[in-house]
Amino acid sequence: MQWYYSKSGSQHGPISMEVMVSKILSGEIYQSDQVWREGMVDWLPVARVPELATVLRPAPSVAPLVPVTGDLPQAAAVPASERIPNYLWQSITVTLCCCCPFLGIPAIIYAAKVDGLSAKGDLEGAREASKKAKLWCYITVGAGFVILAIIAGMVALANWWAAVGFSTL
Amino acid sequence: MRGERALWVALGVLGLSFAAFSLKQNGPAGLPWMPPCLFNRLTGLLCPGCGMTRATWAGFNGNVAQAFRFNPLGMILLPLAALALTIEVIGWVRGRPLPFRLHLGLKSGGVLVGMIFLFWIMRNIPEWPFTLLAPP
Repeated sequence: MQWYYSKSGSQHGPISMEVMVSKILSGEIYQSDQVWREGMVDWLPVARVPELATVLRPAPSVAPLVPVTGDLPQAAAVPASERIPNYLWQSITVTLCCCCPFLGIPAIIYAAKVDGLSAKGDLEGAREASKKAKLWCYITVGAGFVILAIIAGMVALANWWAAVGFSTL
Repeated sequence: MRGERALWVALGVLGLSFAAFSLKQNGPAGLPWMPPCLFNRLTGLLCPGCGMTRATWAGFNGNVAQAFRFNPLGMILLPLAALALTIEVIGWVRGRPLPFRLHLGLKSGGVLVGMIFLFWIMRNIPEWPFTLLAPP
């Protein structure tokens, strides 16, 4: 499994799991540094990635290079959860910009559920809502293109009629 | 897979560039393929996005003040949406998301939707301070 990590704005990797673990244990990668591997939805701090957080816990004797601030142990205690994209701004944008607001409404409704569900710990439900919000965004964009094509066709037809003098039709 | 994604994005960018170029060359009235706002056609009222073609055109010509005059809210939200979309598209093409993302929470999302509706209502009031929100 190849890992990537982000440190002071620049990205590093890919590195193997073993190298990753040794970098975390040596303090080169902090608990708060963002990491990512294939299959994760988004970048997460080390402390919130289950397979890396377990590396942290059995070795509390390793002195951290940064002074431990109040929120770090708390972050490690958070049940392993990845950040699930809520697609909220995407839903609002497609509702406004794709000529068919009625199709964007389900996207917004599903998007609005995602954060609440993941806060409650219902990750399955949150992922499901996230997927549906994404699906309805795509449906709305697709329908928008169809409507755009129909209108453009009608305008072209009207212009052609006017040009050939069938305007009385 | 990634090459294919890059190709799709390149096609999209090419299409957008063509649209932007013809808008700059021909002006908002010279786009026969651009459909009119359906809401405006059917009701005679302004929608929250009305004026954005003209605003984009004014922006292309470096006239930012006039762009804001055509659609003030749109001129704030469009660049934000473009930035957010660019971040997502870059992450999609390279197969893993960028370490930073624009994330809209539930509360700020509600505020945003409320602002859009308020803007929608206010720009349709035909009295002086509100007429500033409608395209001249």
